[in-house]
Amino acid sequence: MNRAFRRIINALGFSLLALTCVVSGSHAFSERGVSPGPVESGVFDLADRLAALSPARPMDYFRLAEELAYLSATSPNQRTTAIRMAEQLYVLSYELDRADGGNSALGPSVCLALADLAPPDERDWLLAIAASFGQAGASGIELDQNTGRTEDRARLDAAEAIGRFRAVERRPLSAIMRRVDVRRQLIDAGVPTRDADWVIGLLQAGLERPYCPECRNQRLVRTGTPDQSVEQSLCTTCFGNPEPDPPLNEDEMRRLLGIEARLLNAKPRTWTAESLVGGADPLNDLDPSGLADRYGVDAEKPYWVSRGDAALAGTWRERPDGD
Amino acid sequence: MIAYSGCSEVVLGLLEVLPRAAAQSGVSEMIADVTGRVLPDVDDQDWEFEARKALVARALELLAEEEQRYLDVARTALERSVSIRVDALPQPQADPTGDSFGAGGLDSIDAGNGGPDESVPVIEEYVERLLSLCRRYPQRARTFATLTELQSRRVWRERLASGAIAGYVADGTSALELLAYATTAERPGDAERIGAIIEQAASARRAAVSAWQQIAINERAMLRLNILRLGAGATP
Repeated sequence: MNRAFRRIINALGFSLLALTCVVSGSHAFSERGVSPGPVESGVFDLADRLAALSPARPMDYFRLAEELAYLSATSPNQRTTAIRMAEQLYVLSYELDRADGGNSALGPSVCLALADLAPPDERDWLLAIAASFGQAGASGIELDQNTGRTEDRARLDAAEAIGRFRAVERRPLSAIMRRVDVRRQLIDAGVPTRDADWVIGLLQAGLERPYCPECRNQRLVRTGTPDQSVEQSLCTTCFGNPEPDPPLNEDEMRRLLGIEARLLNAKPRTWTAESLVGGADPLNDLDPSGLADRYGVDAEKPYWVSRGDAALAGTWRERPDGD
Repeated sequence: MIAYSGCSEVVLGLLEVLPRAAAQSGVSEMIADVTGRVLPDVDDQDWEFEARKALVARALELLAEEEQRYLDVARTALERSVSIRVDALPQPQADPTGDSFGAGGLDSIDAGNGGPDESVPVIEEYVERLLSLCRRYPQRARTFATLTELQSRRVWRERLASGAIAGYVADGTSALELLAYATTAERPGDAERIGAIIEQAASARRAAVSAWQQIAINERAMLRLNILRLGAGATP
């Protein structure tokens, strides 16, 4: 619900903003002879509004953050700068509102807005903080981790590729590797790059692993002579276990299974096993007072002092005069 | 087949043949038996995903047993300590709001033997008892948060926590906050010190590099609160 709601608000907001810019914003810039970037030109009077921000009016920070956030999506070149500024403005609006009245009325809105800008691994944390304020509508918030995972066929395919490698099944492994970007799936699942590269190296080596000369990795061989009935028996070369070459040791087997568990979001029940799949990573606390730390915002410095022509180049200061 | 649930070779073998195995009820039951997990119906589109997930998790549990087993020994010791604290709290009263999470018993302590365990962790029982205790006290103006806020945080922390270790951190944090709420109600003169303990713990948790550190931070803060509750070092 939170996503759908915000999408509607964003669409309406963007339309109004676009209209405002066409009518007056761009004109204002051209009169001053400044050559603003796409974000500066998209937000009406950005430089002046940043300079006029005052801790007595937290909503001004919030509104400006909303406008920057809307427009950052359409200005890929300045996306990082605009988003960074939007995040700082959101957090300042919350901190200043809290300091002013202490009722945290802006808290949930700020967290939902930050969640829209956040990378996937932080989105759930911000949504949960928004919901934990306990205000109306919180029950409609859904965390990403609880939706859509099991429908992801590509993740299952990537996990199966690892299984096929362990079983030294070259042909099915090759088919999966042609169909699925396994590395992409690993990275998207939160597997560290070093581990993802290690897995890809193994899988590629697995594609070149020669077949068992006797059973061609079928594990069984047919025995008997033309005048006898044909029987199947265990391959006497690989003994029915055509391992990867070199074979995986126990540490590597645990590491590989741990990575597969991350792909599938599998949760072992023991702490020992869970620690092998990143389960001992610290839990982000649902403490909105931690937002300032996380986003590098100092609520004691609420005044923006710009440097040069670019409105978004500058620093936050304790006083409006920039000292 | 359940006799083989502790055999990593069998679990890894099932994992190997899973892509070739037909989604039939017999196969599904076998995997459910070996892994100790409930699987969706074989007609469900998620069946293969869930079956693989269950086998991978069980294989890891078995292969991890010999490694770093001290982690589960530590978990058992922690849970025994929590169970003593549970004993010291009054039995939960019926929640007038109907907002109950059910209760696990003291027999829910997992010996960490790596086997399937569906029981409610004792730390959840501790949170439930503390919540019941807090409901007996009226809201005080100087408390660092309202009980409604703490309950809401608890619910969302649990939803955010993914896995047993994160779940323990989440419950430990909720227990700490509820203990602080109860201690403030019992010793209003110490409200400022209690607020400082909570703030320090929150700050330390944010800076922690692992869940183990966060568990230790919560335990240390709860110890400080319990010392206050016993009257040692309290404001006269």
